[in-house]
Amino acid sequence: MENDQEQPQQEMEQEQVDIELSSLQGQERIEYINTLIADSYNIAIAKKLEEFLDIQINENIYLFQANSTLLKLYQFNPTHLNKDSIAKMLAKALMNFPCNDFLFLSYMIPSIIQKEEPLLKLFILNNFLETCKFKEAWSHINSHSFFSEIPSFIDNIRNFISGVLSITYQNISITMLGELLNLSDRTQLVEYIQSKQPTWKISDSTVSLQSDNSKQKKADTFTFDQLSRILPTFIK
Amino acid sequence: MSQTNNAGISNTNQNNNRKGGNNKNYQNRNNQQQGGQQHQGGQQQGGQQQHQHRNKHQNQQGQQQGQQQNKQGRGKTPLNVESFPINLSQQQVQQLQAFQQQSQQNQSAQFQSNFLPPATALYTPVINYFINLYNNFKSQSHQDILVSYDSFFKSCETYYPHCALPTIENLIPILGDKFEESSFTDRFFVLLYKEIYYRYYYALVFQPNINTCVESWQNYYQIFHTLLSANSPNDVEIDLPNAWLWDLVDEFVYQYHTFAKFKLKKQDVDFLSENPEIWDTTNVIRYLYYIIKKSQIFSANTNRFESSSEDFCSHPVYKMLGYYSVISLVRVQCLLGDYTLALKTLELIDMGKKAMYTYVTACHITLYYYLGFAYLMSRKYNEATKALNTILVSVASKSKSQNFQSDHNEKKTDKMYALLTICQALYPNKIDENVSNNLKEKFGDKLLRLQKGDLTVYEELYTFAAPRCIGPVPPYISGFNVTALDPHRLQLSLFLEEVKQQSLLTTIRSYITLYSTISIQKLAGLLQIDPEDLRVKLTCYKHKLFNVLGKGETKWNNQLDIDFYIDQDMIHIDNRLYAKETDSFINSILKFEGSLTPSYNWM
Repeated sequence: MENDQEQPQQEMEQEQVDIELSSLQGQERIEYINTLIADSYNIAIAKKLEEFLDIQINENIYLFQANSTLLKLYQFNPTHLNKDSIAKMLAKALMNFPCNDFLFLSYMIPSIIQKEEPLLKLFILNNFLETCKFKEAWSHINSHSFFSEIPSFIDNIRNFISGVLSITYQNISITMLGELLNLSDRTQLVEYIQSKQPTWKISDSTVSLQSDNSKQKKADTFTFDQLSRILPTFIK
Repeated sequence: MSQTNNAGISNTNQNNNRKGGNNKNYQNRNNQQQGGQQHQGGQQQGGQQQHQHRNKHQNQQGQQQGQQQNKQGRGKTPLNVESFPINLSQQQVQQLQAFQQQSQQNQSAQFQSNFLPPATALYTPVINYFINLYNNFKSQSHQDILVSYDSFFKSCETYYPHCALPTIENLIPILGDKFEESSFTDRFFVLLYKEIYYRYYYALVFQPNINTCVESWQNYYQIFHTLLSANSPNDVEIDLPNAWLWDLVDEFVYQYHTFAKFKLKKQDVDFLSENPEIWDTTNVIRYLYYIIKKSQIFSANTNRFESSSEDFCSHPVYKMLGYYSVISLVRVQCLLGDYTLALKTLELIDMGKKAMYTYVTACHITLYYYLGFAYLMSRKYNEATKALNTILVSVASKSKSQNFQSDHNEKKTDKMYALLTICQALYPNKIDENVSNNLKEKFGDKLLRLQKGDLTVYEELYTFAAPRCIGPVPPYISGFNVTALDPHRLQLSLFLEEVKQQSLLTTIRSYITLYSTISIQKLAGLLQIDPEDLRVKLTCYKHKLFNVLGKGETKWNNQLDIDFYIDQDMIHIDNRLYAKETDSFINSILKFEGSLTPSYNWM
């Protein structure tokens, strides 16, 4: 019985695994990866997913499901475990902060590997970012070339930090902002702030991080939803 | 324990000798009883048996022991009931002797924890219940099957408290001519009885010996293959109540979980390396997948020209089995630490109020337990709170039915209260008043200590409440040593890491609730920490909150929480507790409107 079902499936899978990743582009490639990971317990797809992970790094795209499937395959087939790939997918997960991708992956990585390089540096950085110790995070990033070698890694981390600062601060001194974003060069910093306009504005030595709209208190405003609940009462 | 056990066995032996019954004898008796009144007969016997049960405790057992065992629901075998000895096979006799020797020699529970002696006698009530079960099974009436299913289990608990159930080979002769080897239904009944046999075995021993595990696995293999190889739903002439179907799938995953937690001996490892398919994670998941696929519950009504009775999802057994397999799959995914996948799988299930998971209480509880746990591990504390609150409200409103599962359900409920306590400490949220009171009763003192950031209490509650996570491959294959790979400890340490990262946040929360504005300097002074550290903590607070609420949600709909922002060196606090005027006005309007409306209608 089992053979009846499995045989054609396996043949189909074999065909799928044979497709060259480099022959596909954009959406087509994503769709292909999605069909691959639908059968998530087939170790034969691991090589393709590793390849796709490199593509994600080089082309700065991201598909969490593909990476977590790869990790799962390692979990089920420990002999295939590739620490460098895990390091890469963790780096991609950090780039997707504040989503919890890093956390989800770490539940499936044996703790002994977490405490060793090449993964240790990623877990240290994760801890700094999670606790918002941004200055420490930057000095850690700067002391490991691994991070700067990943395209857009630094930009993404900076964007994450900007996001957290935006929801925390209304106004912040420009020097402090520079430190937290690791932009010590004034012109670079100003350029960065300008890229965030109109939400961010410089005025003298402080930067306003929240747009005027969100400053308004929500407490004294009605939404139509709220109002519509009581409308019938007034109509009577 | 072992002494009572021993006594029980020797007593029953004596009893048997006195009666001097043999196989023929009990068949005769059966035939007499089969005249349409079995059900009633069974019930009478049940009542009688209970009575004897009580007598027994008073007369023959030490009072204390009796009470203790009564509490556990597993008294000693009542003796004043007619019984017939079972002709044990050579192997069973050896097992029995070995067991008796062992329990005489050493009092340690070691031997007993993985082995049950075979049943030595058949008791009349059990026989009656068994026949009932068989007849009802043939009649395919849900209600009747369920009643006899429950009462069969109950009678087994009374008569076989410390040994395995009689094997199906012992029981088939009872059915006499009614049983037909060639009938699909009868063959399937045999498989189902065996499943009950192993389930009973697993319920009584902590870690069954490997032979039992293998046999049970093979039995599941047979059940699933019988169901999966059917060409048309019409070929499968069986019907089973939902509770039984749920027990079947649930037990399958339970046994897998038990097996994965095993500490294997050298000879077991040798055996398993030659038979890697036994209780293998991939196989377990694959079976669940196949059942879901076969059941067509998620793919029906698409390209249909054929009559709908050809769909497997029109067959209640397939439909519910498929549905329960989804829930069990979620459980396996949680046990393996893949919470994203678990939550994704759950999206398949309609979570409406009248959803199918409510049919069986144990299923309802299991689903929400893993849902709550997956949310907790995903740091979605408000979602976890919502889920746990919902199920605990519903559990509290249900009347407490006494069946053999209620014990299990109660334990799960306690665990869910513990999980909810953790959520409340990390992210206070409004919960049902009743639930809140129960929670305070059970874990009130713990909650206070959690709020103070006591890590040991977090660890204690987590260890109590969380399912024991497992790795998909046993250590002898993965090559990691056991302590290095312990997946359960990994989950725990990551959870505690998060708690550590949140430390001080609750304290900060309690302070800023008191102010509408406060300078960073001043608050740092109150908390006795460095102002720079406080800035980091405040940013962290915002980050963690964002984490909880998720990307999509921008609204602060949590009434108990506060929002703040920093303007250079000042913290501005927007206290939600006092800023709900709009809502409270609207709610009062609606309330008054509501209390006025009925009088209109009456006029």
